[in-house]
Amino acid sequence: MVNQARVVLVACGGGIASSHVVKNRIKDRLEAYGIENVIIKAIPYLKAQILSREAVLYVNLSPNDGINYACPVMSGIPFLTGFGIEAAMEELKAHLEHHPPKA
Amino acid sequence: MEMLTNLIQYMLDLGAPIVLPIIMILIGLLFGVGFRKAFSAGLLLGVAFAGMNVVLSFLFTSIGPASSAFVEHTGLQLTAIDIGWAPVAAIAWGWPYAFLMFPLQIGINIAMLALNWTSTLNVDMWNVWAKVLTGLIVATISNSVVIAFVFCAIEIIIELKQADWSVYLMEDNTGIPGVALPHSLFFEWIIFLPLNRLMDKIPFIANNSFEPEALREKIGIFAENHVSGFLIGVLIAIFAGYDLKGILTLGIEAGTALTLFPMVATLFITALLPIADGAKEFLESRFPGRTFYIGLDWPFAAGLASIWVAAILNVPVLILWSIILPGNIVLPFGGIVALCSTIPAALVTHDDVLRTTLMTWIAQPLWIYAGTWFAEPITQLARQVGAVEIPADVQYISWVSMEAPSMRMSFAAIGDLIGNGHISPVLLVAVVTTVLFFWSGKMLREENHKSAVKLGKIETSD
Repeated sequence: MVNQARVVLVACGGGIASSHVVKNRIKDRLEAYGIENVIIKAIPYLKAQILSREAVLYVNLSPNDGINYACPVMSGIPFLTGFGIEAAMEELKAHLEHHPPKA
Repeated sequence: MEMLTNLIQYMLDLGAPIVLPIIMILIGLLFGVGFRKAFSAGLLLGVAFAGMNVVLSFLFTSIGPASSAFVEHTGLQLTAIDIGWAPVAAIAWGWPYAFLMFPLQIGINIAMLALNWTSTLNVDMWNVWAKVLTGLIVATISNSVVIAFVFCAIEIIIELKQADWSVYLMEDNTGIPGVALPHSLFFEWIIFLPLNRLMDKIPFIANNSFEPEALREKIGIFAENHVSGFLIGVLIAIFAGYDLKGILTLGIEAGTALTLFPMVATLFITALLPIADGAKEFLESRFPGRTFYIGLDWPFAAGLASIWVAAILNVPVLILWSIILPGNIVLPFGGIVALCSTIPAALVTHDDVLRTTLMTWIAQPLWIYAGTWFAEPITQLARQVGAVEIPADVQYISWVSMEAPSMRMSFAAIGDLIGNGHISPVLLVAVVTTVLFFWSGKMLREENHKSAVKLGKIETSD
């Protein structure tokens, strides 16, 4: 049985610079915590709403944008500023625990 | 000095795909990331550069002949292909002095924080490449690397000051406290702020506001790279006199190039991450326990729908301007979604889509002329460092929607004067820009203060 990976979205303007920075920072920490079965996708901002239907979490780099997403949302700003990353990771882990990988 | 010139020439001869990894590995080791990580990052940087050349090559073989046919068929001298930010960034990193911008930015930031001349800690290391671009443009036009570095230093200082002067304006727009925008793309607040005040006086504009969110949903698809690329490719092919098959083929090839460019750019990001992280940690460790404004890259403001709506509504206008502006040589393509215009406009107008769109329409010529003037330095460097042959039927490459056109044009014109004794008509731009920087600067601080009051913060400085 393959564990189905959970999709976490990160989006920025073009889906390139900032979202990749955040994606890598999250990935490194998930590896350090030994959390598996997570796919982090860096996407262009305009795609976030549509792709949120298939994700378990959207790490929003422009929070307060007033858009309705299909999945839970958290602010990704701490991953950019470097301040408050630990708290943000706790929030992220909590979201992942809510959605354990389907066996 | 002789040794340095020889070293630079040797580096240029080896080519960026080889030199960049070596520099990267050395810096990685310097930052203590360990050999494996440094080697991987370094290699990835070389791969990124070579990869960008692959896509550029593909673009040149498809758009190159089309753009010459376009010029012949229409008589319009649009001989500089606008390739957009991603390949321009890659070319910038190929400049021999590129990596020196990291210590320059970090050093100035630390010095200014220590002297209390700024409250902003700029952790956006990716956009160091914007300073590299300024540097290579000014160095080429003024014939002096020293002059280029002086202006890059000035740019860094301006960025930190504009961040200080607008942090509450940012929070007012995005709801995120303590985050500032040093990014040079914001710089055209110097013209958008006065324009905004002017628009306050025009009843139709002042009394009408439109909800950008609904519009964003409807037309957002046009901002997607494969769609905008396809449409522009088709347009160019039509005016180049192609037949139906040629038109559709160019459309798809253009869409391909614009989609692949950013994908390759992600390789750059990943490769530069060790430097970015190391630099950030270094900066933050210097001032423990102190609160600053954190300078970030622009996407934290991407939620402002006007940015996207105005950029799309601007596409036909941008094309029109490039056709009618006398002396323009840039054929809009990669930079057709002019975010570097709509972002500062949207921030200054608080996401007012009508004003943002109008301001963008009015001010586009500034960006287009910057693209025209800087086509030569960009093309020259690309020819020097790239592994790709820019084919004979492509005269120039450029970027039609770059950051801070007025700042860059001013630096280049003044640099031209100091370095070559040449008095260029663009010096007028420099004069106006300098005046506006101080005049609009006061307005920026006023708007910032208004935002601070609105947010319930008490301003104790400035």
